Amino acid sequence: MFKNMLKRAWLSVIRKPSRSIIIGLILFAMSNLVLASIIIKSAVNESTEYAKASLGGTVTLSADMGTLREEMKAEAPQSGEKIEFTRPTVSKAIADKIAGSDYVKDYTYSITSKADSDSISAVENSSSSMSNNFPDMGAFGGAEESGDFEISGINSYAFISGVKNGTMEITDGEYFDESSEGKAIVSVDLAEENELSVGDKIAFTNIYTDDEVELEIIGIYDVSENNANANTIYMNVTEAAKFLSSDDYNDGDYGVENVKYELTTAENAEAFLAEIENNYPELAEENIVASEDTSAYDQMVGPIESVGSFATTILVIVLIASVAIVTLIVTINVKDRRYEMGVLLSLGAKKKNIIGQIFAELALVGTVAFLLGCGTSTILAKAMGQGILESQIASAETEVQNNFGRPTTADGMGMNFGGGPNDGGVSEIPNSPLNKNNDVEVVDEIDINAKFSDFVLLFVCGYSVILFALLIPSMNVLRYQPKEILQGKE
Amino acid sequence: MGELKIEKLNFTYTNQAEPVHVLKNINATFKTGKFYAIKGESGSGKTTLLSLLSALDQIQDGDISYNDKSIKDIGLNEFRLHYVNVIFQSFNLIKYMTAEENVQVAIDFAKEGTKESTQKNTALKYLEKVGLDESTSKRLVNKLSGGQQQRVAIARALASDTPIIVGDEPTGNLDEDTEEKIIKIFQDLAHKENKIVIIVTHSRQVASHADKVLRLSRGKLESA
Repeated sequence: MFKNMLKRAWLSVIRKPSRSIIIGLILFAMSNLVLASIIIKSAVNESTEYAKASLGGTVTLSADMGTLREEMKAEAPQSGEKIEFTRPTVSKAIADKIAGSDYVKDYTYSITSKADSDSISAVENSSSSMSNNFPDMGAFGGAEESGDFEISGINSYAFISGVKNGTMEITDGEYFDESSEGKAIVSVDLAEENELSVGDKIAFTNIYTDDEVELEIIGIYDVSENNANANTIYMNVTEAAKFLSSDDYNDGDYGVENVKYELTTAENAEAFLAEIENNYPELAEENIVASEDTSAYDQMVGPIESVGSFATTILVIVLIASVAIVTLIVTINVKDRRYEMGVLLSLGAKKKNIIGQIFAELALVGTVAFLLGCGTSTILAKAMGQGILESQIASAETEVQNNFGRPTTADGMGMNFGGGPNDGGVSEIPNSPLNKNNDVEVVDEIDINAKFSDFVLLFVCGYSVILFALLIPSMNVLRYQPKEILQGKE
Repeated sequence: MGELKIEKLNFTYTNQAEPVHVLKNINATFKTGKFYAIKGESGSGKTTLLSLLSALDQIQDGDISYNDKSIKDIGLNEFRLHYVNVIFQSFNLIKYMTAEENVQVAIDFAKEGTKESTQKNTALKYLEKVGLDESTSKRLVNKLSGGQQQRVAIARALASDTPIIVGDEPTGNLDEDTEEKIIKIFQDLAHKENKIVIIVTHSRQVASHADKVLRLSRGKLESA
């Protein structure tokens, strides 16, 4: 009986060619759009997975600005007096302890302070630290007293975000790293002002303890940014810690900023965050929050994720439209064939056999349409996907330009509080996921190629839509008795 | 001996402005091996009675049974499949199929599991029996004349090999010679193959060859 059902379906398809062709063309058009969306989505998923794998995961410890703002509001005096804002820092001991987690592959942090010197003079009119630019915000980093020179302690020269940005370079001498004891780099402007050269030694004074620290100039850097602070002296963290106050130094357990952990894999981020929350409750008490840094990921895959969202939207719209259109076509088809259904019922055919025959007809036409769609949809997907991706990249670039050249961060602020060579802030580890925003290459190409699973998904979606579209009108006709159907009374 | 029994059968059309009582308390028995003709004026309810006898419509009131088993218990679909076959006045053939394929469909449903070659041979045998040669049998039914289509419908009913054959004006579109042939077939089906043959007809010739003629009038079925 099944064989004969297929035979009847075949006869119906080939002996009513115009109907079959119309249904086939509609299914072909839909299969192209559905498959193109599926292929694009699948390609986007692959690219994002690749991006995740290549970037790994990064977790940062930073000040909980929201809570701090609330606390400041609550403590604000009525008189309008300025209140001092101190950004909380993370205890070096805790930062190091957290780094012992199995999830962590690498980590970095920085410190800042101030210094004076009797042997050299500061560059006049140079941009100062952030606190100077925004005096109302108070002093960051706990340096309440002003010093002429800004001390920036970073794990290594290469970690400085300006270096990665391409806005800072060594014009003479060499770089420092964690092992560079008693060594520092100074700006070109400061060197010219004081006729300094590589190899010179300068005595700086800790502004809190009056202790003298002698540093050898091993490099002279130049910064192309106009607002760079020429009085910033860069060195490693150990050297920079010598410029902290006794209280801040805290017997070696000083506060560090811009703490970043590179994870073994991005998938561990949530587990690592939970581990920090459970094991280090003191961080929350000090208004420090741990969060996953997705800015580099967002920057890298933002445009292709937009393509993925677009493909999803298209897929949903096409599926809804397909269900509606195919249901309409099938309803017309079933209505046109209710007489035949009545005849078959009068001969004792079971309802499932009748529905099965019509489904087999549609599936037969659908199979041809879907197979043709498999051939053409990849071309459509490539054109669609690359076109949308290019427009998304162009739009992202425009956004960056409108944001004064800074890449937009995950929080949409377009600012990197820790970064920049002028504020002694965050550094970046070369070739590491820790230096996200600046050296991340935006994914500007998707490998759009249909996979076998995409074809399978098309066939599953296609047959499901056909079956869904067929069941409602068929059941509507078949609930009547054969006499009523044959007399057209249904 | 098997029999088809109608007991206290009533049928009312309620989808009209006024309910129309078409069949009123009908009782009748149709015996195996007999050829029955039912006559009646247009609108007397002949087709309604036939629809109920052939399980094409649901019984509202009363019962129809075959060999003392209600067709409600047998199941309408099962009854249509294995007990009764109908020859419609309007043929009710599947248009995109050939004569042979139309007959084959009925065989496929009624005799599940029959080989396709057997189905084909059986179809051709019955088509030949009603006077359609092989080349005509291979033609699409919508290319055949009304008379030829009627014969295809008869062949389809015969090919199912059910114990009850019901016809609604089955010779209405046939010429006299063919009508004679078909009447002979009906007689043979009843007398030689022990089937119950019930034909609704206006034709005197058909009625004259029937073993029993019944008249449906004002909702009542009576012997003519």
